[in-house]
Amino acid sequence: MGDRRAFRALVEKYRGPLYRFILRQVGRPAVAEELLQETLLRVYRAASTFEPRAAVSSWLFRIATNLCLNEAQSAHSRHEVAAEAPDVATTQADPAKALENKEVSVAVEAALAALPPQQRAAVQLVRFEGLSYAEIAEVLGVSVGAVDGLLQRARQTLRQQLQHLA
Amino acid sequence: MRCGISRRLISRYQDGELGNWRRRRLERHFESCLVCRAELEADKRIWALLDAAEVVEAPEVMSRLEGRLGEPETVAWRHSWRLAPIAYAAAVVLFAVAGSLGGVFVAARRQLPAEGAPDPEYAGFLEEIPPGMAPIVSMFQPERTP
Repeated sequence: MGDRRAFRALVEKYRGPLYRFILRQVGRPAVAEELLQETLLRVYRAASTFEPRAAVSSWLFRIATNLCLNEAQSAHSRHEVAAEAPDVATTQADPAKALENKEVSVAVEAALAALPPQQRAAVQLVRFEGLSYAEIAEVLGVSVGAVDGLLQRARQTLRQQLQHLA
Repeated sequence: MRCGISRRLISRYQDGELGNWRRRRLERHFESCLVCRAELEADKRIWALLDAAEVVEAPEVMSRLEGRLGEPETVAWRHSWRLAPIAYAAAVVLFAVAGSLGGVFVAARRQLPAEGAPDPEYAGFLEEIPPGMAPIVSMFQPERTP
């Protein structure tokens, strides 16, 4: 069991990145919130087993990834859509610009949602969370070369999907 | 550097995953190859588009978590049901193996000759030996203690 004050600081620092990561993986805010809580609970309970050789972020995202993959399998067996593009809202002063941004944002979210789970996770971790390939390899339990392959394929797909906007 | 290698390295170049030596060689290639430079630019534009992905606010979870921190760890029933078919299959295999092993053991016990009685298989074997060979075979017969 972890120290509660340290845990609270960790929750404050990582709940945003973890929630966004989980939401893009599962697509449903209610499920994402449930999985965020479960991730943080597991982190608290397993704090004593954490090995300092690994980055904290890699460890957190690994727990979240495993939970997301379990959820995706359960959703698949329940015949639910694995990942829908999350509904996002923009806050822009200029309505025309806001609408344009909203369109781009929706297209980007849809393109991300269309990626296979591992490719999507790799893109999120490298692009939004700034993790290195070695850290992503640790999160996904694959080799660094495999991460490179995942990102190359993801880039190709994203390019096809978002060509009209680029 | 060849264009094929250059294209494969664009992804790692963009993500800052190349060492200095390779990065410089790739940059030199981009200076001389318009096609690869166009590939790089296209990749940059797509990567930049991802900035449009919305930064969604995370819900406040700490107050709800506080109440659960002291709870004992339990298996999430929502997911544990997936283990049930495996457990059933393992139990069936275990019973089948145990049953067949038990059957073999009981059958073997039934076929064992009584203490001191001649082994029927060995007796049958002796009957089939041609008469001239019997003295030789008898040399290899196990000695029986009285």
